[in-house]
Amino acid sequence: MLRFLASRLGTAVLVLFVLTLVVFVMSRVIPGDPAVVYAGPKAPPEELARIREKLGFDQPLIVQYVNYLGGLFTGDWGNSLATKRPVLDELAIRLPATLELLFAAMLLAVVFGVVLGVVAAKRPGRAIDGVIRFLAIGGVSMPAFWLGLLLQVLFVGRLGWLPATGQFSTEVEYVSPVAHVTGFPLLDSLLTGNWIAYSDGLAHLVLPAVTLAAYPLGLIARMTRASMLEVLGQDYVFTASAFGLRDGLIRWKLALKNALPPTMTIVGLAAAYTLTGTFFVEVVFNWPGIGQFAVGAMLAVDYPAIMAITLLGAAGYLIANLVVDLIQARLDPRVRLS
Amino acid sequence: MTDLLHIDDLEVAFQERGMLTNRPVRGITLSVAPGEVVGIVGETGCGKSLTALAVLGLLPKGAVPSGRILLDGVVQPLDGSGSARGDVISIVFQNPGTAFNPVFTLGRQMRDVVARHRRMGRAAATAHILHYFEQVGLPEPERIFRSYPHELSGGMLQRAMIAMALLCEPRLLILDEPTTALDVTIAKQILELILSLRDRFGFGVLLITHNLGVVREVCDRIAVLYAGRVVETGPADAVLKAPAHPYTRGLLGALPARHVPGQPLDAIRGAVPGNLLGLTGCSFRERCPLAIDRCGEIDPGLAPVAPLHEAACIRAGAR
Ligand SMILES: Nc1ncnc2c1ncn2[C@@H]1O[C@H](COP(=O)(O)OP(=O)(O)OP(=O)(O)O)[C@@H](O)[C@H]1O
Ligand code: SF4
Ligand SMILES: [Mg+2]
Repeated sequence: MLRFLASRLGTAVLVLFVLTLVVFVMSRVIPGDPAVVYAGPKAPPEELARIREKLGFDQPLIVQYVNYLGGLFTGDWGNSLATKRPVLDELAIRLPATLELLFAAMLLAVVFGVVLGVVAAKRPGRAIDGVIRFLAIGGVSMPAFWLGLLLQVLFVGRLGWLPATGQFSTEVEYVSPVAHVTGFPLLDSLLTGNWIAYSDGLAHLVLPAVTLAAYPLGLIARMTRASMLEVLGQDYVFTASAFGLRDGLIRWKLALKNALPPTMTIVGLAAAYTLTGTFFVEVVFNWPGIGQFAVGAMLAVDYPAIMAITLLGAAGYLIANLVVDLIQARLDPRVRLS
Repeated sequence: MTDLLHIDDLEVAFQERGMLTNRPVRGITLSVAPGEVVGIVGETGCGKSLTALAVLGLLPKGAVPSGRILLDGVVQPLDGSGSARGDVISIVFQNPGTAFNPVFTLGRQMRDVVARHRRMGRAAATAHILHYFEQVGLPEPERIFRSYPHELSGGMLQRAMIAMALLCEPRLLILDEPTTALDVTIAKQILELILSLRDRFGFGVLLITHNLGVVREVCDRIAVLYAGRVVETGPADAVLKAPAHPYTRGLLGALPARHVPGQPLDAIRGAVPGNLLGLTGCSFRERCPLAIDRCGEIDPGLAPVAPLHEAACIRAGAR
């Protein structure tokens, strides 16, 4: 198991390293002059030259890359051209909100996706299977921002059940501000027993999380259904019923464990897709996370911010897949051997 | 004496959208006494497995069974809603490599079976399982208990499967080609094991096989199936020494050497009728070297040819 973990980690680190190179090269071919972004369009040429020197653009590319790598390790990821503050600080204050949203969405997607998949596989071709298929395909094919707007119109505009945007209502800050424990706002409100903030935060989380979950949920439901159907046809499932084990136990405890590893592969992919999905969803719901910042950075050609976000996203993807690998190895003893 | 298992005129038909599509089992009558080993032999597709599955109430979707199945004289529901399955009756399948779930340890899989049928604490269940691992001659029971299926050989897995089948002290053990997937020496050991367990526990055995060598070695009685019917039945010695039905004679005559196990029963010219729905006359007619005109008119039932020995042929015993 340890060797398995080490080999997967090694691969992940290698991929990250290659990615720094790709990101660096890309940052040099992005159209737009960073010095102009930094100093503003009306800056005189001598000012621009001074800024280029300050940012290190006058040095050979290889030196620039080495400096860049060195910075990554020492925590100097450069300053945002737009806000002039360190990129790492900008990300650090926004990351927790994004991670909370992402976690909530993936939790919804995995739990409901798996449950719907197992239920659909119980009566393939019957009405319930059809309904779930419709929902799953809908979730996969509906663009996130569109679904987000629809949900807002329905649950905020028509029904008035849920708040439209943001992570907390503005009053919360005055009435019952969230104390800092872990830096994750919703988690902190729970840990400190701040029920006013917690319930308010949960209410704010529902719509963006559902919006974000739709795509991975659909994928996971379809995949779970398919692998459940395959597993249910296997000899060992027949053995289980020949020994009189109950149908519920066979489906939900035994066969599901066989069906989960292939489903987990999809979860890894879906998590990556969901990561990019946060960009749109955060804009639609005015969520104070990295996604909004990222959209701003792209529009402004804020290349240090873009590079940092790209690396962060890649790291997130690699971590998600590492977790998937570990879960798979945990579920299936044969994976541990390979 | 009531038989342990009595199958009375069992039929299995298949239905699709209300239409009968096939009737692969057409009235099988068969019984097994406690401690007796009864062999079911016949070519592929003759209905051996369906008969076993009907006894367990595990017929596939679309199957419509009729007839009666009695355990200790008590009629069993044909849809499998009774709780005999895995408890009073258990089954061992052909392929031990796929019969266990690959992602659970053997111990866990067997604990589920114990938990389903017996009130037993965790520790007691574990001890119970380890006891049966010993009974089937598995070395290092604790290690086997913690093993995953891929960590054991086919022979060991089949022993473990037999142990699992014994967990609830069944009165009837069904073995569906238990040695076909194993190599010859291992197969021999497994058969010896089954016989010694039968002596120890006294359960009845219904042994399904293609292999007349296996029958010769272990069976007390046999039933030869052809096209979903018993065409000959009797004490194994008598049937093997003096086969009365032309089909059984063909099977035996076709064996290259009488004592070589592992030979399939496919050496008779021709093939089993594909669909048994509109069959008239003797089902073996097309392939029978002794067929006469009358064979197309009457459908012979089992009739005695010797004490306890019956065959379904109007020319039984003819040269
Ligand atoms: N699910 C099913 N649907 C329709 N027909 C079936 C089904 N299962 C079995 N049959 C029919 O029943 C016949 C007998 O099947 P069965 O499995 O009992 O044969 P068998 O004697 O066990 O053969 P083998 O030696 O190959 O295991 C088959 O030839 C097939 O035509
Ligand atoms: S009844 Fe006729 S066809 Fe059938 S086995 Fe006997 S001789 Fe052959
Ligand atoms: Mg069979």
